[in-house]
Amino acid sequence: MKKVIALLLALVMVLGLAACGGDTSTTKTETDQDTTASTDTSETTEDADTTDDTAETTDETGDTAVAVPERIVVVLPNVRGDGGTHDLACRASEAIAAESGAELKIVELGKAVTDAAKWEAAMLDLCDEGYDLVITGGSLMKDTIELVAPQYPEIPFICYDVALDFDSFDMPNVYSMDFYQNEAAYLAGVIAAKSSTTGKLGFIGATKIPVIYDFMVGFIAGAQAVNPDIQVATAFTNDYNDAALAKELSLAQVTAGADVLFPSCGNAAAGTYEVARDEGVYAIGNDQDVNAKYETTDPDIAAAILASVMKKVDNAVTTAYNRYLEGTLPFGTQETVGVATDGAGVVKNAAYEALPQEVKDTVADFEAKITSGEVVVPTAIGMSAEEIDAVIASAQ
Amino acid sequence: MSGIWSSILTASFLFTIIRVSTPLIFASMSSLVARRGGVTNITIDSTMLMSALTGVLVSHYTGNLFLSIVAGMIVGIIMGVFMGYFHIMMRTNMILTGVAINTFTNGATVMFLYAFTGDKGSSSNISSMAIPNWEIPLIKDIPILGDILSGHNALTYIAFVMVILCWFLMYRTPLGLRIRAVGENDKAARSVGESPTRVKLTALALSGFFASLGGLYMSMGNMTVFITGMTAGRGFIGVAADSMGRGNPVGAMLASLLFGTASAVANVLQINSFPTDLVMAIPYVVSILGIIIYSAREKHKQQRLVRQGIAQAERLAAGK
Repeated sequence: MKKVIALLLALVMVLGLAACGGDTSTTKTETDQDTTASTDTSETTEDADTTDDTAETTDETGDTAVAVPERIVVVLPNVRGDGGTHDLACRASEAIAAESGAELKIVELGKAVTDAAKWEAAMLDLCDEGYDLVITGGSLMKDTIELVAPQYPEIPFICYDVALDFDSFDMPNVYSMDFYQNEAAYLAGVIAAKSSTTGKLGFIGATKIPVIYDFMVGFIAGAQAVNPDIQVATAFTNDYNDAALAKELSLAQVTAGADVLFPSCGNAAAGTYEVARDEGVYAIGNDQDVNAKYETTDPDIAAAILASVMKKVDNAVTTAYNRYLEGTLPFGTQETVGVATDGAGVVKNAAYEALPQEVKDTVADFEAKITSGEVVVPTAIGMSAEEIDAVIASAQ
Repeated sequence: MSGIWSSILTASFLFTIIRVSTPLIFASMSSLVARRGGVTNITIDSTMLMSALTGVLVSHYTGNLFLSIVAGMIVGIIMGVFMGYFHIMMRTNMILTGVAINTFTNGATVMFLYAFTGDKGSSSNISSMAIPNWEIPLIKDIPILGDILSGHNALTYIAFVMVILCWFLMYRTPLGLRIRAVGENDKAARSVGESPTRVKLTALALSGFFASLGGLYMSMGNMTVFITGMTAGRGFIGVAADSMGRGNPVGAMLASLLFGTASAVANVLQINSFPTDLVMAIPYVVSILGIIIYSAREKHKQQRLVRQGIAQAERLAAGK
């Protein structure tokens, strides 16, 4: 009996660890065998520039410049289910693998707080497993990529939503893209200020990190561009999952007069969307097409969401993959995509089309101005704490 | 500044306090029953999480609100007994068992959520049911009181009923007496023929039951969706509230309301652009202060008892 219990307890621990940590520790045994598998991709990075642009030939029989990757690994910091960036990247990778028939492995490295110390080792292990393509991303992965990628020059890396330091690290096998989230948030601010009748808006962020601040700064700037006297109440949950707190903060903002809310707090944003549903105010969806997400499961929420803005990570990953097959992916460089290249911005869904024409015209106007460079959206990246406080204070 | 007062001095602010405190009240009752039975239950938060998920999933698949609540409660009770089985029957360390169960639950909720909804973050791609809000017939027509007390979620009213029930259970039933006796001194209880194992298991099952109501409130009352990790430490705040309430249900309820007030005030301060980092600390500072006051009073009480004991002994000696 005791043994059974001991086994059960052990099972409990193992289940817990497995679910938290992803399966990164299984790789040690096959490190030596797989080095040959990836050698044929090593030349691709060098003659990538010389190949001519064929049209979008994504099927595996087309005249692609490089061999279609047979084994793809997606490495996520944290776990799947962030309701945004990483879910979109996974979905895009799954579509890629389904289309090309490649073997796909999605590895969740586990929580940044508790597991970050083992990310580098896990990444090294995965690279030793002989994958043909590594897709990874998120600002938390920056250091890990910069340390591991140079050691595996034969493996191509496609990195999303992270700004890598290509000057200090020699990474000719890495392509990296990040997003002007401030531009997406700017357009959210434009829509919010146009739709508000009280002249008061609410922003709910999660933690105080540059990316979240970037959303906030963009949102405030966009709202002020439409209405210089706009008031934006800001609040932070300090947690990406505490939806109940996001709901309380949103309610407090509504009580203070806000009638359009913009969350940037991961899954906790569900609390804000519920406030929009229950209190007869509006929200602007973030991180994904929130209208589509709620369309069938909770139409009342979908109706309360004016529009969604997002970093179009799924498109960006798919595009990068296609360019990689064509041999036109600029390895060794960082690209930043925003409104100009439709890498970030408003989702042109039915909810957006249903907005008043005047609002849509204004959004189109600002999109054109951002694209032409006439409007430069301020960014929180590189701002000091005082400057960020000044931005918040400017909208009180 | 005026914005803060106009936000706080309203009926809806008091309404907010009650709403925010509800899960804390359930969690503190959960902690209280276990602690009076001699077990510090640190798995309340994860029990809430498990029940929250169960309620949402069962309501989606059966479309029956009653069944989903019952299923949530059963899972809560199982979680309590689970803890009790390892700690009491197998004599594992209480804290280690608690940590193991918490770790297990963190993973298990994500696993089940993914298995049933295909999403690891939230249940928003399935539709689930909500426990209704109740308008209280007569009270809702009273001007200010109606705004504060009426229109809450059904579980909020049940929370206050549970406080009374918990008090009655503890002080007016044989089971309550047994739980308290075993918690105070299980050897003494055993010497009069009581089985501490059975009583402690019952206490933990009750603890799981109270926690499950808190979890159901999170995902089907306050919110209508399950989010991974959505309890966000409220179970632990409940343990703190119970400590502050000195093992008395009414005291634990008042402590829960104090925590609720602290976080409601923090929310209002935050949107009026007070420094968030300071404001976020308020509920925790309040809990630390509460525990300091509690232990100071305990120490004072003990010293008084010791003094009384010495005085009595001296009187007895002098009498002889």
